Amino acid sequence: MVTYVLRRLALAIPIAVVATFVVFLMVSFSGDPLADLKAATPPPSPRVIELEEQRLHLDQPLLVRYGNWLVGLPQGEFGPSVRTNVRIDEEILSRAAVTFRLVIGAFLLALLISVVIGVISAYRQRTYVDHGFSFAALLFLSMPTFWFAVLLKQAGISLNDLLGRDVVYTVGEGSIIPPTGLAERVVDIAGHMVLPTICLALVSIGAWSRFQRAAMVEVLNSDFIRLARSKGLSRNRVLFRHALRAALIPLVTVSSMDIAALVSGSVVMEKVFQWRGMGDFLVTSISQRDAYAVMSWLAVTAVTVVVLNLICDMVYGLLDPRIRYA
Amino acid sequence: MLSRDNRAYHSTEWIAMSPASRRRLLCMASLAVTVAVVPACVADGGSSAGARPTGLVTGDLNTINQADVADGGTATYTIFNPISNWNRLHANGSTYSVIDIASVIMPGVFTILPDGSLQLSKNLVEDAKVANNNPQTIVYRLRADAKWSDGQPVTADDFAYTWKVQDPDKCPECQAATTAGHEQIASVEGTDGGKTVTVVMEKPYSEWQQLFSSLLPAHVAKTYAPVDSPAGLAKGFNEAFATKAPTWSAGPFVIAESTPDGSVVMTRNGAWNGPRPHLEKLVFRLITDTTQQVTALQNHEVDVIYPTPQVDLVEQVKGLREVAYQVTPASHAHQMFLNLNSKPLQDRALRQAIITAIDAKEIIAKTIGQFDEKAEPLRSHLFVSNQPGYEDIHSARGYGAGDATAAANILRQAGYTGVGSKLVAPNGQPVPALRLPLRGGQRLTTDEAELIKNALRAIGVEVSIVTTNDLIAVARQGNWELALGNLNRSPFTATNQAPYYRTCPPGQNFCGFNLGNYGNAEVDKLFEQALTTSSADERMAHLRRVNVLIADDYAFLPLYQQRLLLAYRGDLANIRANSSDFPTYNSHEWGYVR
Repeated sequence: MVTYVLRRLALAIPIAVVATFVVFLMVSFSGDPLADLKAATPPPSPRVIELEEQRLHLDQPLLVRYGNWLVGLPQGEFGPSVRTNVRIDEEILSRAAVTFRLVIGAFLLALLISVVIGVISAYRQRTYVDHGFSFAALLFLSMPTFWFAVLLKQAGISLNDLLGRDVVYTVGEGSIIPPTGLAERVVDIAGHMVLPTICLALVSIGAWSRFQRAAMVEVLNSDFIRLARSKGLSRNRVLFRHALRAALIPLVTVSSMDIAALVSGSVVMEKVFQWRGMGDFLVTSISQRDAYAVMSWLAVTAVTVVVLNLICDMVYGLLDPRIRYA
Repeated sequence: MLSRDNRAYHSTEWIAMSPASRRRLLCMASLAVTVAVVPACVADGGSSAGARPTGLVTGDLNTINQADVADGGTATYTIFNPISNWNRLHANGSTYSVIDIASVIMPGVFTILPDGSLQLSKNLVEDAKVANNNPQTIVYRLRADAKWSDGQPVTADDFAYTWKVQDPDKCPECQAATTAGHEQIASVEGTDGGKTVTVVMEKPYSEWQQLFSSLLPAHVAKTYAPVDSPAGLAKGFNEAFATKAPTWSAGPFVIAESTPDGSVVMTRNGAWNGPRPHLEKLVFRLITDTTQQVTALQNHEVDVIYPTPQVDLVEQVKGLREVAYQVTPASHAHQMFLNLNSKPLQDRALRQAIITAIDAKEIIAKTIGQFDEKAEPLRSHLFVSNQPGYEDIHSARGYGAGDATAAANILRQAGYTGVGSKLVAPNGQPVPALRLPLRGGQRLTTDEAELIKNALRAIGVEVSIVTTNDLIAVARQGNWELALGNLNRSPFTATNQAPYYRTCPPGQNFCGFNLGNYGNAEVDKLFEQALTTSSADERMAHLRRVNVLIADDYAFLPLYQQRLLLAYRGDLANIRANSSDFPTYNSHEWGYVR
């Protein structure tokens, strides 16, 4: 297992290097990071622009800039940001925690709901319940998430109006002036998490619930389940002790592959719900043509996705004892 | 193979269900429909039943939304740009968000009111006047009780420091947003314990009121780096003030905390010598997407939003309950620029024909006219409608008339052929398509560009609209003939406007903000005279003459005065839009109606 993990990590490094180089070229050629500065009214002096170019290493050749960044990365040097008061490493660290909260929350919610829906649909296949869940899954898969976000926000506002107090929130990962008291703080964070987590989880629920249903149907029709039923085991024992465990294996595979999609989806959610996470950091950095920030984002995200996939692989091994990694 | 237990046949299942099951299913379906439909039916428009007016609020720009307010409460104001540099005077720090915040904590000698007039900041200075004209000497008498939040008095040292960091001679490495006026200061001296500030100018500067519009605390600067050397000045100005959130203030509020998400919480500044602010806390919340700002206002997560008005945005705000909004003229002018580096456009006749053919009224009707019926074409190059000096010099010259016939006549008289079909210049060369670059995603500008294209097609001029993300880069590369943009027409006309019209040095295709290489020696001379005269009347006379000369050159087409949209909780009073000093200029007066 250790060898397997190390091999996977070793493979990820050259991929990340190539990816960051490509992104660096794309961002560097997309425009001038000092465009906003030069467009200021009144315009700054040439000396100001020259100093800023020196600070951002824009006076150096492209390859030299990339090379210096790559060499500095293992030492925690992420390069200068276009934004003067931003240290890229500190910014990424604080924002990673925000995105982590959103992505993991959505992942777990999607997993839980998908399993429940998948099991019910499989057990009640071709009933109105099954058809209802199928329709919902199709809806979640086909509708854009930002559209859902808009609807959910309006629903949340209506709920608040109905209750006469703020229960759910539409912007931010927490109140600017956080409430005192641990319980109130938890409730405040939960209120901010509800809408974006549901939104982000919806597409995954649509896909994963169908996988889980299909897997459960196949397992429920298999011989060992028939044997278990004929031995007189209860329905619940058959479902949860025997069938579900076997049916979870494909879901773990699919969900681990979808982690990258969840991280991508978080970029949209953070924009819509104004969370200051990695996604918002990426969008802001791209719009400001902040090449070092974008590359650093990519490097950190690539490593994170690889690590999360590795964790899923290990869970896979736990679920299926037949799986052993060399 | 499917298990018989799990197989259900659609056609027989409903019949096979018990009545109780059918009723349960019907109830669930009805509930689902209700939950889906009710949020859409909840009406969010209309006025509140409360005493405060909601919806569109109008009135005098300086007193709109005025009311008697109670003490206490928190107001959350939305900022748009992430704060990447805390130094309002730095080239990178001169963003809307930082200016919003700086208006509260960094005092200036003069405040620009919403109608563009100047008001002496009486909390900081007793008076400010020109004591001598030769050399020009300005004397500021500071209030004895004017002090920073840490108790240190505001003195001449702060004026001297603010001057030096904006004067390239004193601090060549300081990356100041502007040096206008400050580079002409010869000395800044303090007397009477630093409470009388005497500023001597190297040469007269007529718009001296724009000096010291925001003060930096010298005593804080000294803790960052020595202030008696250029290197020390640069270090403090470019680094320390830029990277550290200000914990000091000489205004009504002081920053208590800046949150990781880029928001700022301010509390009352106990050391402020002005009227006690009504609000207990003032929060600046970062929301970078204007659509989300409206939703946040609707959900009471913010109390004030100040986005750039767009048609759909104004419609959304109109539909909100218990929300008031103002749509008022800005000090920004929206205009079309012509690139005189382009050979075809070096012919004045062609420029005049282009400007005559374009219909400014039609453009307004399809853009800002959709949310402000009172919008009119801007008829001046240097002034906006609410400024002294504004006069209609365009109508007589056919500016924005939309008169294709008159434009065609101008071209024919100048020797052009193919008018109305494919224009050919007098030298026999076909006039190429004029490139009009646009920043992507801006609906109003895109519509405008299409209207311009249609108008010019009528006289045989083709326009090629090009979308770009980096408008300035395109402009500097010279890949354009027409461009749309905004100019800030502050009360300091000569200082702000000259960089757009000053002739470029020989060999340069653009300079300063004169990207179209416009040049007129008479205009240059008059701008210089306007800047250096000590007579306000002479200054205005020079600027009026400049206005006419630029109009006669047909190198720019002012279209309209931009609009400001300020939306806020209906019970929040004394908040008003302000193009130059931003709505936070009077944050100490904000409050909730009694």
